[in-house]
Amino acid sequence: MVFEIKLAVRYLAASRLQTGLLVAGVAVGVLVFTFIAALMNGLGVRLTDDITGSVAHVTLEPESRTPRSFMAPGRGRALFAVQPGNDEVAVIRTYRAALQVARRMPGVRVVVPEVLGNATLARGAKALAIVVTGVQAEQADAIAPLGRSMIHGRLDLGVGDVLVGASLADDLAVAVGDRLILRAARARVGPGADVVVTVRGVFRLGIQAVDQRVIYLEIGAARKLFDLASGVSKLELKIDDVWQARALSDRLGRATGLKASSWLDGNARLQEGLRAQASTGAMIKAFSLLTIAIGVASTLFLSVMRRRSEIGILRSFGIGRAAIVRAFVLQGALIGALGSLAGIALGFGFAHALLALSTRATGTPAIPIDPAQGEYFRAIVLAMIASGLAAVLPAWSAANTDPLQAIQS
Amino acid sequence: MNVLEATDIVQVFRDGETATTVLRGVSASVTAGELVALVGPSGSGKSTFLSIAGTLLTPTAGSLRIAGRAALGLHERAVSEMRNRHLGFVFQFHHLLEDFTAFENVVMPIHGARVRVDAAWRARAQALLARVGLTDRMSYRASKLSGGQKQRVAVARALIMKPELVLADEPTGNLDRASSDHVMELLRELSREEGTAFLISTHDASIAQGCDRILAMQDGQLLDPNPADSSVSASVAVRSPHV
Repeated sequence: MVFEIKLAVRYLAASRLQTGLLVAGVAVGVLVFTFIAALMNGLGVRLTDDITGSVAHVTLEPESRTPRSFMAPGRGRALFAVQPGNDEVAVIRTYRAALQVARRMPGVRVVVPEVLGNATLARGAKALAIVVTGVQAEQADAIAPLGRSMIHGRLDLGVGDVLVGASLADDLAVAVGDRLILRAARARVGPGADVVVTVRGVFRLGIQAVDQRVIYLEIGAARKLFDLASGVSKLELKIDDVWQARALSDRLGRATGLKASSWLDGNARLQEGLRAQASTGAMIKAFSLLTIAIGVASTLFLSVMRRRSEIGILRSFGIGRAAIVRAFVLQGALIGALGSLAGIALGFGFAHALLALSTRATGTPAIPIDPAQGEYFRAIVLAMIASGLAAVLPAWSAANTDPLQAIQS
Repeated sequence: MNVLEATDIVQVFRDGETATTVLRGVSASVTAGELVALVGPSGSGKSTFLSIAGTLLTPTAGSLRIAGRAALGLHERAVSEMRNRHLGFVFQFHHLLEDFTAFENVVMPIHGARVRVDAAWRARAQALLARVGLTDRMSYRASKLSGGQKQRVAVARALIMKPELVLADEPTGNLDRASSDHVMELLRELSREEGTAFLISTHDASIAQGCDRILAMQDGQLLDPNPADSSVSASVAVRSPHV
């Protein structure tokens, strides 16, 4: 093998310009590969983070119950029925057991009990229908990143405090410190139905439905508002690997007996989009590898043609076909190795430069490229394999050189 | 001992419907350490016979023994091994690997034997290069050597594996008179020193005259070395040098 390595290295070194151009070609192919990988993966991560950053990864809720009805015997006529939506609020009454199960489940980062309900938020004559999310004060930031989304006031949920979305605050023309009247949608009419709350903070999550319709309330206050003695409406979870949400959701559903759903259930289009994006990226990467292979193969074919008499003389004094094949495949692999090393250096530098150039004053990049996700190791391995495989045909052609014809030519 | 025994070698080249018979039952032998000239006009079949003797070409018919072993019908690897161990080649064009040094070119056949180029092999290569007068050119790339120097490197390369037979096809054809004489003198001396037989195809009468024996070819046949009619022998085309 030493001889084959020596032959391969010497042949490459002998044609420095040709080898240099070939290595540059491979480097550009690898640069494209790593750039596309960094861009596509970065975009995928940003899209996923944007979505999963503000929502629960897994939600545990009580099973929705079929409305009660009383049927007349025999003829199937309904004597009395409760229409869907008019039933009592679904509540997990013994939620602590489920909370413990969920907290102990490997991969679960945080579990947040929540009380949810519809209500009306009024200021003066203006009243708007809103959704109340009741959470423990210390967990207000656990599901949606309220802390860094506060545009006014602070993330502070004391008794009688609320956090409101920016659009809702605009609609009601309220600011931090203003007082509002909150009334549960199913509240009994009479004294005590209205609760006076104070705006402690205004947030903007960037999700219109939340910014316009949701307020956050301390969980105890929410229970009182919705007349719940105990229990919670649902448990929301954040997990370590968002792509394991479905599997974890299934396990949690079985373990707790609650209805479990994952963020993926409501984001089928995102998954489709990410899959399409990954396929596009894979195709571009495949084409870059194909370009590398064609470049290496064509150049090595030329090299074989030029060195046909030398190959013939090597064959005449007993150098076997296998050794000739190895020498030329090694040339391909060496070109692949050199080119891919240069390519990943260029790709890494290019991705970093692009990231630096496109970063806005806010610190977020306009181009969602992630230099850490350039798939550099894969690029090296694939480029070397592509170059090595591309060298097989020229190598085979070299090995089949008829020594007599080569010498006579 | 015969290092080459060719018996009734026939070579027919076919190109579609056309068949050209180049060798018509050639039988020849070369004994160990013998210096044999193969002469004849262009197209007489000298190079074809040399290619067959070197196992570079398989004849249409006939039998061939190299160093006492049957050389036809062998697996390709066995043929390569036979060429590597028992045969050496010197061609009209040196066919050195231009990107390698003179020394590296000389040791090249050792790689074909799949053995390590150890100190003993290196010493032999250096001795051979010294013998052909290239001690001070060992580390020169082949591309930096003159035509005569390249051909002397080719001679050293042909002898590195201590072959029983070296086949030389017009080895001085591209050289001037002085270089040609130098190379031929070397071949004669190395033949004696190494005990290697040489079969040298040449148009050069002076080279042929310097050999132990002459095989003359015409129209794909070897002429009778002891003809009853001496005019036949005289008619063998051994041209004057460099005409």
